[in-house]
Amino acid sequence: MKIAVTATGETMDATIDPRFGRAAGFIIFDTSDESFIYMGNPVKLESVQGAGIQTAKNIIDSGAKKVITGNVGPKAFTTLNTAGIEIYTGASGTVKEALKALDSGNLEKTESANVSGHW
Amino acid sequence: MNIAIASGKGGTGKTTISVALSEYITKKGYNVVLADCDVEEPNTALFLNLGNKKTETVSVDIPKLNSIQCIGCSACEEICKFSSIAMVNNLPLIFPDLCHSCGGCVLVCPTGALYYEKVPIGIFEQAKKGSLHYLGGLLNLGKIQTATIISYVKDKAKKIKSDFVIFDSPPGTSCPFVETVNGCDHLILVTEPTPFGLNDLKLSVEAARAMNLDFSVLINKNDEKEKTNIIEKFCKTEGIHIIATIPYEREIAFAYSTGDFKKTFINRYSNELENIAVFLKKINKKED
Repeated sequence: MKIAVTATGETMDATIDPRFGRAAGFIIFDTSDESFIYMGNPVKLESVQGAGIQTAKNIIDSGAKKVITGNVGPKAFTTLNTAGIEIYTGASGTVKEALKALDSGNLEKTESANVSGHW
Repeated sequence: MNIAIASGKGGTGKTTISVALSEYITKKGYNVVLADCDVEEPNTALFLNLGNKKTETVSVDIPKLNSIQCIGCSACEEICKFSSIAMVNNLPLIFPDLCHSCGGCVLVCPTGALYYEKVPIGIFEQAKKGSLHYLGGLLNLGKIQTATIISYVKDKAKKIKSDFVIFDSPPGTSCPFVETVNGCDHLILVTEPTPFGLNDLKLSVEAARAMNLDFSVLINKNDEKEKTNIIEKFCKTEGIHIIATIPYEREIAFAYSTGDFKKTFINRYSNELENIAVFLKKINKKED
C-alpha cells in the first residue's frame, strides 16, 4: 500500500510540511517494498483557490491510500474522503518518524477537516 | 448619471458623503437613487430613517448531479475555470463555494446529468422616501458571492428612472469595489490626510486608472492646521482634481455616532456639497 506524506524535502529525513494543499511536495512511500519516490506539488503557488482539490486529485492519481500531514482543509478533505483515502493529521518531525508513528498506531485518523480554507 | 463613492481605506467617510450628497441633491429637486453596495456590512440605511423596506431573495444557480445519468466524461471538470468540479471515482464532485454560476458545466454535459439548483446567497432591499430611492443588499453569513449581490443592486438601480445614482462602495480595491465602480460616469475617492489614507488612495487611483474611470478625490477629516497635507501634495503631483475638502470636526463624528448627522453636516458644508453638485452636473453635460 502507498502512503503519501507532505514533505518539505525529497528524502525520508525531510521535515513534514504542515500544509496539505500548498505543501512543498510529497514522499510516496510503498509499504510492500519500503521504497519511496518524491513527488513535487505543482499547484502550490499557481492556484488562487482550490489548491486543496487539485493536490488531492494528484494524490488520488499517485495511488496512495493514506495521507499523513499536519492539517487538511475542507475541500481537500472532501475530495480525499470521497476517493476513500484515509487522512492522518497532526503529524510532525521527519517523514520517517511520521511513518513510524502511523505504523505504531500513534496517529489518529481524521474524520473531518481540521482547519478552514485558506489556512 | 452614475456616481460611485469609494475609498481604499475604510472609515474615511464614504457613507457620510454618500448620504449627505444624496440628501442635498434630493432637496434641490432631483430624483436620486442611493445604492449601498457594501453588501457585506451595509450601513447607509441606518442614516435614512426609512420605513418598511421591501426585500427580495437573491439566489445563484449551482450545478447538481444526477449520478445515474453521468457517464464520467469529465467535460464539466475540464470547462470549469474555477476548479469547482473535480472528477473523483469517475463522478464530478461539486464545490459550490468556488462556483461562479457561469453555466459552462450544465451546457457541456452530454447526457443532462448536471442541472441547476437555486441557492439563496442573500437579500436585496429597497425603500422610497420622497424623491430619494434607497437600494441595498446583504450577503448571507458564510457566503462569498459578494459581487453577485452588488451586480443585482446595480441592475435594479438601472431600472429606476432618476437624475443621479449614487453608489456607496465597499472599501478596498478588490472585486466588490471593482463591481461597484465599473461603468460609473464619475468616481469620487474619499480619503483622509493620514499615511494609511494616502497609501490606500494610491491603490484606488491605480485601480481607477486601470479601469479608465473619470475620478476625483475628496479629502475628508482634513487638518486645517497644516498648510499643505500629504493628500494635496499627492494629487498635485499626479494631476488629480480635488472635488472637495471637508475639515475634521469632532462634532460631526459625534453626530454620526448618534445616527443623525445629516442636518449638521449639510448645514455646515452646504458650500462644499454645492461645489460637488455643480462639478458633477458639468461632467454630465459634457457627456450628453
